[in-house]
Amino acid sequence: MTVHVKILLHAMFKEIAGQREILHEVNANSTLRDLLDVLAQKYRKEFNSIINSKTGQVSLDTLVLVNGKSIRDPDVQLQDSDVVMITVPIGGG
Amino acid sequence: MVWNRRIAYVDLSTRKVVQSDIPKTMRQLYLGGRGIDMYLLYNHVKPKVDPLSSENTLFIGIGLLGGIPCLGASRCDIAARSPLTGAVGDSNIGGFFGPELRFAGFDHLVITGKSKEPAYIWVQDREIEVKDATHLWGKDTIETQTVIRQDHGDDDVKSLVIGVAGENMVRFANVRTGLKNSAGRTGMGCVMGSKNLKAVAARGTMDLEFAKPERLLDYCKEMNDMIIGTRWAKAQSRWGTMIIFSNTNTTGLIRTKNFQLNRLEDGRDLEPENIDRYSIGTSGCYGCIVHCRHRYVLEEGPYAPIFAEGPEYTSLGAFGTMVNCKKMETILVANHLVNKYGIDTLETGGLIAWAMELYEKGIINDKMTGGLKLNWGNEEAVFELIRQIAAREGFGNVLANGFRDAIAKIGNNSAYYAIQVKGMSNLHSDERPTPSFALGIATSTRGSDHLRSRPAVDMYGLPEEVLQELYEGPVSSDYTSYDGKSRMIWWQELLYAVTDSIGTCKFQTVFCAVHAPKWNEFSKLIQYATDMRFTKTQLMQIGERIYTLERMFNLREGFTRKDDRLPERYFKEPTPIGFPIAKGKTIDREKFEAMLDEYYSLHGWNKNGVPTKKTLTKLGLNKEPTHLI
Repeated sequence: MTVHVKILLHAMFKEIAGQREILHEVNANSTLRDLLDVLAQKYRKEFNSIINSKTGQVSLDTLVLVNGKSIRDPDVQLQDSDVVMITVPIGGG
Repeated sequence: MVWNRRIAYVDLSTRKVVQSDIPKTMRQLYLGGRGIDMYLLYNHVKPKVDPLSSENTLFIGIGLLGGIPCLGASRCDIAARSPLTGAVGDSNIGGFFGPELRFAGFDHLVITGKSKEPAYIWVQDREIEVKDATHLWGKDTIETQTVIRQDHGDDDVKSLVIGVAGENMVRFANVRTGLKNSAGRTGMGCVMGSKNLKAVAARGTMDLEFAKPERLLDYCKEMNDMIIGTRWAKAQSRWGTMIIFSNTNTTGLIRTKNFQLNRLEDGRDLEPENIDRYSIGTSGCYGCIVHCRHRYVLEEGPYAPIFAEGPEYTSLGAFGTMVNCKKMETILVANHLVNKYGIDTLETGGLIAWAMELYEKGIINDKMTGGLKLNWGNEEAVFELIRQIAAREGFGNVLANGFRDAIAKIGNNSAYYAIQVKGMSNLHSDERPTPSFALGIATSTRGSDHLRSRPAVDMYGLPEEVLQELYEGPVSSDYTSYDGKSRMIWWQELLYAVTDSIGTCKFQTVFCAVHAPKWNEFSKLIQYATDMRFTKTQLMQIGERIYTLERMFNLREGFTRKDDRLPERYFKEPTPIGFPIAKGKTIDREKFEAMLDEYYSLHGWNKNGVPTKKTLTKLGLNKEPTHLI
């Protein structure tokens, strides 16, 4: 059984991938880590360092939001119709 | 070293100039920039002074570290009693003017009185002169700078100027330098206009001396390498602050159609990457490695040719989401117009969006607008209203004194729809899902404002142990939670007060990232530059002193706890769209009041927001004002 997630890419992630939105099919019970691994293998570069190799968590200089909520633990399970946004944490005005 | 940089008192009525040294004790208590300006404001401006009278005093001061080659150490603070709010008037500007003032021998200017004729202040290598500006009156902010450079035959002259909006005393007229930099908020350009002061121009060739120049340069390089090595700085140097839009609009954190929606549907053209169609590169302020603003060209259209800089994230909201305009080109034209006329982009967009909602609801009509069709997305109406506000013509003149005056003129429940605090417009951020942001705009000493405290890091879902270490107390990592958010706002207020007083850029501190420079890095830079030594605790106490003094100024002007408020709509109208985390949100009134209690307590203020005697004594403020003139 598979589920569909929508991936939204911003900033350098969008530039590297060459697209803003990707509709992606993953196996049921897949985690965010599984998804990020797929993206890292496909696009490499910035995608390789989304998960900090020392902490095993999403790097502090990356923002990965699932349905608008920032996720640091990559072992959260993805659900059907989840929207995964990958961007850069920035404030400003 | 900073010790040979002076303060000058310029009386525009008599054209007399008096110079003096800046006492070291003042540096130790207030550093420079905003800190010293706030001390001077509290002491030099009598209570209840009419902001447009000659008795209101204008203060200009560069931060303590102005001129060092890192962290965008260019920032200059401009202060007076605000003609928009009646509260603290204070605005911060980057670019190149601040360092030039310092190269010319001065760190602070205190400008009193009123010139009979248009005038500008000329500062050069420790000499100051008030000069005639009749030939500059009526010119826009770009032309004015060009003519001043031509007058002096020197392309390196840097000026702070006002446009026609400042001349017309639009209450939210700004002060500008270069193509893009603005001291945008609280109407400091209006105060200049009221004094017939068109510009302050500086040219300096005096060396800056530092206590430990080699260590300072090494450490500046370390700072620059660290900053530009981060992902957030790389993104900001590529797309500027516009990059925030992608996240906030997708999630549903942007007020749209004034305050009716929290996401701009079909807003794809406002995505930051679309600036590439018009950009010819990026530029930055003095001492900045990031370069966060685009230079852009519009070669076609009724307003072409346009050569300008920006736009900031703020303008994407002001002339995009809030007025429901969906084209990047609309933003670029409007950004150029407000900059040319010299009015605050945020206040202007906030007022126009409010007027559009009143028009939709029939509270104002064609007769009142002079036939202007204020329909959502009508970009021509936006451009025309910008012009009318700056010129004080037609319906624009109804808006030109800001929310309070316009509400009084329009009446009929129009106040309910105004998204403002203390008379100043809010950014286009929708704070209903983010209690920390909501508290910050309610408590800011200068009115609704994201630059006094915004804890952008609250959005990042950081581990609570990281937040605990940063804020030295428990803070929830959930941005929709109220827990610990008072602490967050209190801490950020102190940090930004110090940042504005050393003159570095807020974006290169804990605005964007928890590991960005803060107390310890500031302490080292100050030591290497000036030989003054401050611990983290001492710097935080300086921030507390500055913020509490601003609070005392506002209390003196009649502001109380009841003014630390949010628009009623934050409590009554749930956010209608967005991701589940952002949808259906209101601010809980009881929890908000509890946050406010805790926030006052952290500052050492009582339940009414009044600093206690113990706090005043601890901060050395118990005898202020000590030099009231």
